[in-house]
Amino acid sequence: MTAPLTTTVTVIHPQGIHLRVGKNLAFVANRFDATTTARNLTLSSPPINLKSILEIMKLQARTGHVILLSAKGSDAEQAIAALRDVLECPS
Amino acid sequence: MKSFSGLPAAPGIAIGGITIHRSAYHLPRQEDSTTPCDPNEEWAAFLQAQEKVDAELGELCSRSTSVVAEIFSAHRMMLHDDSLSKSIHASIFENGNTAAVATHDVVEELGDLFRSFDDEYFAGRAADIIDLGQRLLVHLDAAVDPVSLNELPPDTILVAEDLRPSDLAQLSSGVVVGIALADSTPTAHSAILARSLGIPLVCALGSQVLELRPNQLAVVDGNAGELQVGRSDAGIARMKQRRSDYLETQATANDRAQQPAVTLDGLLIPVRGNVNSPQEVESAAHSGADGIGLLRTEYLFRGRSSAPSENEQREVYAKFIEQTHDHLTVRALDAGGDKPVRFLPLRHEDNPFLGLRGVRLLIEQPNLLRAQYRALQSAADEMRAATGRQVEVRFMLPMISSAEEVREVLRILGELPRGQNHIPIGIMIEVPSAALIADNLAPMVDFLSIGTNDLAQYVLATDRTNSTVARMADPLHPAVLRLIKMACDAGKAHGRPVSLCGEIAGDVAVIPLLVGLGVRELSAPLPAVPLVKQAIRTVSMDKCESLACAALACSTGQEVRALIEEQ
Repeated sequence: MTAPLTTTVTVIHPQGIHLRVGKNLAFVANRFDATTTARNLTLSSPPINLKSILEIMKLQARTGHVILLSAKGSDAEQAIAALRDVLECPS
Repeated sequence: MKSFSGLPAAPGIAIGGITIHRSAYHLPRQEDSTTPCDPNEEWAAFLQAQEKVDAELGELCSRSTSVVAEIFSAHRMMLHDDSLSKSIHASIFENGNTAAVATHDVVEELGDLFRSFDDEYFAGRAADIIDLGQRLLVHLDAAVDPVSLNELPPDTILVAEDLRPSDLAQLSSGVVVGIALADSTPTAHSAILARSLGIPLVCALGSQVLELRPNQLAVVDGNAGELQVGRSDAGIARMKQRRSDYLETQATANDRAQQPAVTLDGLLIPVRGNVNSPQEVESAAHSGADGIGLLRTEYLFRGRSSAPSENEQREVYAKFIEQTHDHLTVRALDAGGDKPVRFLPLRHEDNPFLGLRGVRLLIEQPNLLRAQYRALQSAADEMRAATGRQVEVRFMLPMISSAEEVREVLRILGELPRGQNHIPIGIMIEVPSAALIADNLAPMVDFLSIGTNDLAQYVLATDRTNSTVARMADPLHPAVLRLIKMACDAGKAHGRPVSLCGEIAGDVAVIPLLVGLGVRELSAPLPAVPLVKQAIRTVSMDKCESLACAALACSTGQEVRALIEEQ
């Protein structure tokens, strides 16, 4: 069994991962087969499923928080790159 | 008269009769019926309700403005969220609940979970979840909307714990004239919607307002953040007068926005704009701003893996100088633990507001400071050579707290080759220490600019984004006013211009006081510029100065407000 791919991203959106960013994240996560999860390392929160907008809100991610993204599955690499892009887009 | 004070969330004054609206916080629960239900039928009922709500939300998205559509499209996504439907499925099949009870329980549980979050924004999303739950329950024949917001009497002041975005979307502005919320924050979706509808809204008033007698006459003052009840006839007449004055002043102000702001006795006070983005730079001239008094440059640095080069910055600043009327003050990068930039790996800080931010970070990374100043200098030289226009360009340092910092910055910038024109260097007065030693700092620099948002937070030890204490971060607290006065006096003694930026510069009622304290240049949020200019045109210096003397003698922010009210 292969280990999941992981990467860390610092939240840059002025209001954190608010509803609109969360919506985009979930939308992108659902385009991939890979199981994608995230943890808020700054708040030491448990992992959440990135395909669910309700779960993403539970991250309570604010500007400056560090998020650990993790993906597992055939298209894990593409998934993680796409999710990273969403998080790093400034608005 | 009884007055409740909260936070202003949408501007304007409204007078009308109170209707208490309950339902936003919790959903009604339909008691379990005794007859056992068929889980397959219940699940089918849920799926059908889900489909109907999807159609409703789709319809709302398609006929709303973009701000509103964005909110409902997020609701639509929640509706189809796997974790929501899985929980409801489990509640039906494993616990034998009806679709209505299952939906109620799952949504309420999620709402409670969100409300328990420490973070105000995420806790506020409970209203979105409950909103969605209510929609589902309506189609499961389980929820009755207690007050249909379509059938309210004209001139209603709506009082509620909180309002759901759906509640606001169905309002027409002729019926509900003002909104007063016990809870919520100025950043909630309800506040965004109220501003877009032009309905005055005050929030964080406390739960006592829910006990008010329905139909009694009340006043919502969305500028001051107050709800008033039991005003005498004369009081109501006064508020009506104030409302029509406000509307009239607004019309006059808009007509005269492009003219300079001169006091009755002939003192010209430039009113500039605070801007955060190239779009705002473009719209500054249209708003009537006498140039840009605060260009926040953080947007140039955010979300990139390396700092923008000197050349890239030069091009940006040159464009801004070209678009600007006659003045541009550029604030150096104001980053730090609470406003991170990716290419600067910052250490974790327990208290970023008291950490490595503003000028402290620039001194640690002098290349950033040099590149920004040189870019601005070459842009100014270039534009002057090309157009011959005399645009006044200034460079401003954030978060100065000591003379050593000023000396160090001047040393770093002094080593640079001089441009054809000297770009004046000034400092923000936003840390109490800088205000207290302003007479030492003023002769070292070319100008001072008072930042009241941070100054109030630091001197009152209060975070204004924390709703439990935000009210205490009052920029009219006499302690803040005395520091503003010290900075103005220091500037005057040493012949240095003193400007003031911050939210308070957009508060029309406070302008005479600021001028009386000695502020001679203002920089306000763009939408407020026309009204601020108009406020200056109606006062004289001696009146402003006596108001300032009286305000400095007050012992509370409340007293200062009462004093301003009397004028």
